[in-house]
Amino acid sequence: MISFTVNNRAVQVDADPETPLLWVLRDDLGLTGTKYGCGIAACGACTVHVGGQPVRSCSLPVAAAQGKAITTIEGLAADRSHPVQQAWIEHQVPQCGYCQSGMIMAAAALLKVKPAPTDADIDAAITNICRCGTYARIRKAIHAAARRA
Amino acid sequence: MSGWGRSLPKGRGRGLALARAFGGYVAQVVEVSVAGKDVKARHVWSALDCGQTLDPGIAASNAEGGVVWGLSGLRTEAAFVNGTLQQTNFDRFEPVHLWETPTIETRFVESGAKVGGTGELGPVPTHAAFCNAVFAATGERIRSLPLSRHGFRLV
Repeated sequence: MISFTVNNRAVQVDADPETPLLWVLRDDLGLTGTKYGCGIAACGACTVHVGGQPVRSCSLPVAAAQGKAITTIEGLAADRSHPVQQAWIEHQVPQCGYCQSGMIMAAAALLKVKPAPTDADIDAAITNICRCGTYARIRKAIHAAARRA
Repeated sequence: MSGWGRSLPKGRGRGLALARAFGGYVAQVVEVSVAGKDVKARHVWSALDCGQTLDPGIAASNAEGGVVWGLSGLRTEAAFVNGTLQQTNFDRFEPVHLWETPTIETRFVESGAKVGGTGELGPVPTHAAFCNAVFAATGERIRSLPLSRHGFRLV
């Protein structure tokens, strides 16, 4: 059994230790807000926080989550009150939406370490791919979230 | 809106292209900076006429995302070998990332013409406007893509 917390809830899973964390979150725990994009840690659609750090869960074996605190998009704020959620709504960032939970988790992680990020900070931290090309609004929304926080 | 005709510092160039597609019209100016063979898209201005813009927010978002998609197409060729696509994932097809995205300004002409599409209008002139900008900056004509065929790299 592998034990960790997800969104402050203790969980135990009986999974092959090599199973990517993403599939344990989605298939075993039913947390489908985290998306499968590329499976090779290139796109970031599967970004969750592991011990507060943004991690691409498609490429992290669940064994590495043992004893860690995981936060998924479902755990950010159920009432949409998180500054990143508020800024995303204000700026109407998503188009198709598929990459956006990963984008939001990447942005939330950035703001934790850099509460007032510069454009260069955003360039360096947001390496996720958005095929709809919503990047300009993502940048604006991160600046707006920094002002809200 | 782009200040077309204004003089630019060395290593910068602007290109213009116009297209009619999906029942709408789009004119675009792309400004690039060139350092050696590295080309960076700095600013893009798009003017679109889709007759009547029903939702300006969504329409602008579509148009701006389209520019990003257009730029992405400059970099990677979709190649088939024995009927099989070679670019099967984002390690072989690298779309433009946030850090490569230029500032984009979009305006709509409310011409009152028959309503046309905006969803896929954005990327249509981007390749031509970009390559015209590279010509303006370097004197070198690009008449085929991807840019790597000519030694250029999108950064």
